[in-house]
Amino acid sequence: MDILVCFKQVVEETEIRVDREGGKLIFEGVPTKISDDDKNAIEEAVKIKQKVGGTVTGLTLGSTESRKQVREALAMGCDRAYLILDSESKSQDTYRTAKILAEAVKRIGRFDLILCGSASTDNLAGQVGPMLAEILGLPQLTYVRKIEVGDGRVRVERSLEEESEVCEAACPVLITVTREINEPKVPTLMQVMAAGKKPLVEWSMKDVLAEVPTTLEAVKMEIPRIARKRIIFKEKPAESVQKLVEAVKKEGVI
Amino acid sequence: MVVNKLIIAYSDEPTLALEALSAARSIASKASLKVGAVSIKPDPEWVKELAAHGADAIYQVEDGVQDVKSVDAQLDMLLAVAEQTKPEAVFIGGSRRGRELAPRLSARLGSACAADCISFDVDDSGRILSTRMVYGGASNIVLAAKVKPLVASIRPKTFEKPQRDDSRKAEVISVKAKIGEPKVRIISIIGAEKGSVNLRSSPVIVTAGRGVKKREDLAIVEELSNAVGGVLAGTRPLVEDLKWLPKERQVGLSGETVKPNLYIAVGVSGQIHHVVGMKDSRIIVAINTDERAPIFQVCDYGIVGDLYQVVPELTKAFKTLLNKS
Ligand SMILES: Cc1cc2nc3c(=O)[nH]c(=O)nc-3n(C[C@H](O)[C@H](O)[C@H](O)COP(=O)(O)OP(=O)(O)OC[C@H]3O[C@@H](n4cnc5c(N)ncnc54)[C@H](O)[C@@H]3O)c2cc1C
Ligand SMILES: Nc1ncnc2c1ncn2[C@@H]1O[C@H](COP(=O)(O)O)[C@@H](O)[C@H]1O
Repeated sequence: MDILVCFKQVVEETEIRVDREGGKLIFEGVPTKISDDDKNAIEEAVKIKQKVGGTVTGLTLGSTESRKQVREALAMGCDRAYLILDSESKSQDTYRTAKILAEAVKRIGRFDLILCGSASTDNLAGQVGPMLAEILGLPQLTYVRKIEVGDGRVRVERSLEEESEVCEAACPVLITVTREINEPKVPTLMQVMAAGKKPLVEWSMKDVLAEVPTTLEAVKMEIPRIARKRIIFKEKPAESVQKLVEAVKKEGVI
Repeated sequence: MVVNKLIIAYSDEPTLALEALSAARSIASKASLKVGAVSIKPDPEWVKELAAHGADAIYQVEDGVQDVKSVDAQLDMLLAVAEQTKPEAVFIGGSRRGRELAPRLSARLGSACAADCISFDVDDSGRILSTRMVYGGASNIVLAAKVKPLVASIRPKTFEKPQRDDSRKAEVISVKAKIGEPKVRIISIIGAEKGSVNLRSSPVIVTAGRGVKKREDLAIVEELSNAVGGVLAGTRPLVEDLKWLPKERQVGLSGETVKPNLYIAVGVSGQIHHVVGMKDSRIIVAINTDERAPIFQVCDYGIVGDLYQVVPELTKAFKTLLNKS
C-alpha cells in the first residue's frame, strides 16, 4: 500500500507569549514542531506499512525552516519526503494550501491512501484534508480514530460529537486522523541517523504550480482581552483559605 | 423564483441549523442580504420552525435526501442549492460533519472557506468579515473572502438561537439536485449516552486539572464543588486522556465554553486551550502549587499551595460560610 502523509510545521502554541498591551503575539524564541495530529498521521502510516507492506511518503508545504520537521518525519518512518518551499507557508488560506498540495501529489505519483491531521494546531481549521480530497476527486473519511485496511478498502471508526460512526470506502481514499488513533513514538537515535540518508526532494513553488490561487485575506489579528484582578495569596493554607473565602464572599458570587 | 443576494444557512442538526440562521441574521441587514435555509427533508413543521427563526426562503430538494447522515449526499444537495441561488455566503453548522462539509463545498466552488467562526461583520465596502480563533485561542483572526461565496462553518454554542416569531413567513423553493451514490458507506452509527449535566447553565463550576494525582482524589475536588453548589468539570487530560470524567464536563477549546459566576480551577495550569473556554467567567479562582503557572495570570484570586491541603480547608470554610448565611 502506497501511503502519502501531509504534515505541517507549526509553532509550539503553548509557548507563544501574549503582549496584551501591544495587542500582539510574541513568537520570538518559540520552538516549532510537527503539528500534533500530523504526528499521529505519520505514526499511523508507518504502522499500516508495517502490517501490509508498501511505502510512506511525507509531503509538506513549508519553508527552509521546516527541514527540521522533514527530518523528524523521516526519522519517524517516512521512506522519503517532499518539501515545497513557500514564502507564505503560514497562510490562513486553506484552499491555496490544498491546491498546491494537490498539484504536488499529482506530480509525485499515485497513492492508495492519503493521511492528514484532522486540524493543524496553529490554524485549527480542519480544512486542508477535506479540500485536498475534493480537488483530487477522492472519497474521504474525517476525524478517524481507527483504521483497518484490506482488499483495496478501508474501514474506519470516526469520532463525531455525540456519536461514532463505522464507515467504509474504496481506495484511493483520504483520511484525516484524530489524536486518539495512536501514541506517536519518539524516534530512536538509529532512526534519526538513518533519516539523513533517506531521499528528500525540495521544490520551489514554480516547480509545482504556476498560478497560486488566493481566496482569503487576513484583515487583522485581535487578542482577546483578559483583564483580571490577579490577587494571589501565598500564606499558609489555612490563612490563604480564609482570605480567599472573604474575597469570594465580597464578590457576591455564591 | 430566485431570491437575489443571499446567505444560505444549513446544518443537518436542527439546533445547529438554527445557530447558523442566527449567524446569518447577525449580518443580514447590514449586508442587505436575504437569508435562505436549506431543509434536507420535506417537512412542513421544520419549514415553519425555520421561518419563525429568521429564514426568508427555504430551499428543499424535491424528494429530500435519503441518507441524511451522509456528508457525500449533503454535499450534492448544497452544490445544487449553490448552483441555483449563487449565494454570497453559505453558513454551515460546525459539527464535525459540518466541518467536513464546508471545506468540501468550498473546494468544489473554488471559493474561500473559514472554519469554526465565532462572529461576523460587514466592512465599509460590503465584504463579509469572519472572525475565528487561531493558535489555540491565543488570538482571533478576522478574514475577508476574496472569492465568493464565502463558506463558513459556525462554532457550535456561540450564536444564540434566534428569537422566535411565528408571524414570519418564508417562501419554500424547490431545488433539483442529483444526489449521487455516496462514495463512503456508513455501516453503523453508535450514539453516546447523553450526559445529564449542562455546564453552561451552572452558576458555579469547579474544575479539576492534572494536579489531581489519582482518580479517587477527584472526590476531594467534588466535595468542594458540592460545598459551593457547583458542578465538577475537568481539563482535557482528565477527560479525553484519562477518561475520569465524561466529555460533556470538559472545559476549553475542544470542550465547553462556560461563563459561570464563579469558576474555581484546581491543579489546572491554565494553558490557552483551557482558558478560552472559561475566560469570560465572572470571578476566576485558581489553586496551584506553581507560582508561575499561567492560570495565575488569568485569575482574580489565587492560592499558591498544594490542592491536597488547600481544597479540604476551602471546602470546610465555604461550608461554614454558607451554613451561617
Ligand atoms: C487542539 C487542542 C485542543 C485542546 N483543547 C483543550 C480543552 O478543551 N480543554 C483543556 O483543558 N485542554 C485542552 N487542550 C490541552 C491544553 O493545551 C493543556 O494541555 C491542558 O489544559 C492541561 O491540563 P491541566 O492543566 O489539567 O494539566 P497540566 O498542564 O499538566 O497542569 C497541571 C497543573 O497542576 C499543578 N499541580 C500539580 N500538583 C499540584 C498539587 N498537588 N496542587 C495544586 N496544583 C498542582 C501544576 O503546577 C500544573 O500547573 C487542548 C490542546 C490542543 C492542542
Ligand atoms: N502546509 C501544509 N503542508 C502539508 N500539509 C498540511 C499543510 N497545512 C495543512 N496540512 C494538512 O492538513 C491538515 C489540516 O490542516 P488545517 O486545515 O490547517 O487545520 C493538517 O493536519 C495537515 O495534515
